[in-house]
Amino acid sequence: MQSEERELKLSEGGGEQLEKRVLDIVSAAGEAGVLQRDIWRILNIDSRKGSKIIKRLERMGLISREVVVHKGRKVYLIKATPKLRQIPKLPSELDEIPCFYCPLLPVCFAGDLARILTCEKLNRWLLDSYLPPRA
Amino acid sequence: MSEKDQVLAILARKIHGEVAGRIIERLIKVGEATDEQLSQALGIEIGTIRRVLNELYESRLVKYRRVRDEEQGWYLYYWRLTDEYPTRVLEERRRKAVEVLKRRLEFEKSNSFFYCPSCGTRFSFDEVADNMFRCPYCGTDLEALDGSLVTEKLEKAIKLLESIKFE
Repeated sequence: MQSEERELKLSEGGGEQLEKRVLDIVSAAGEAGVLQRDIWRILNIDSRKGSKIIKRLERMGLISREVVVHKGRKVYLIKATPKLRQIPKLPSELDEIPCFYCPLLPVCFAGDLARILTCEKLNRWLLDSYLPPRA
Repeated sequence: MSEKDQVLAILARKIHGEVAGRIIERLIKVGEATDEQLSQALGIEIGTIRRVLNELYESRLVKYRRVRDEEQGWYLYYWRLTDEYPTRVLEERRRKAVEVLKRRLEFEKSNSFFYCPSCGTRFSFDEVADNMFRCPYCGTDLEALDGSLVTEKLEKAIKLLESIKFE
């Protein structure tokens, strides 16, 4: 949890949406891919900052990095993975589970058990269908 | 902005309703906007826009940039879509939903339950043991309840959530 929070802070990058912009550039490059140093140039960032972002996106499985020789020098070519190219889907089965689309999900997740036990929506889903009818 | 961001609009609409969906669609189009700009563009009252923006922020679907207005001294908030990749947002929601349902399952499994045949209320063992297994509201004798249906429903939902692939 802590390390994730640290990662997310890193991803904010001073509000510059750098990760998103890198992903947009890589997506737009298509099958041919784009040279890592061209990404730095377009976004006007240094390789130290850029490498962190690239490594993170590679870990998330959104981009791949391969070494190619360009004008006699070894450089990195960045390509979009199938995961990045695909548009995420929202399977219809999710509609049947009350918590997934609930606006209070973050609150229940961070809160105590009492919250989960007293949730009206969850109780209705769980109990209404099976509690014996009233006498 | 890519087509993938449209998923965020669908998600926002399902979680927070129609206004949220329209806000996200507007942000996809313009990139960044203040609450006032959104209110004007969408023709929705600013109080509603602010409330929904805060909800969207809680769900990590939007982020903001705060700028101090030098003349007036107050802050302006520029809202934009989350920087996170949509799949990551969905995975995060899935993880949280699974955790919530697992906590509920754990409680259901480690307790026995009773119900009142008269008023239909369900009680845990601890709630009614001191009351000689009578309903605290109407005094009717309580009956034991088979908890397996509830645990099965929860287990099925957890399994389903864990099996879904978003990409």
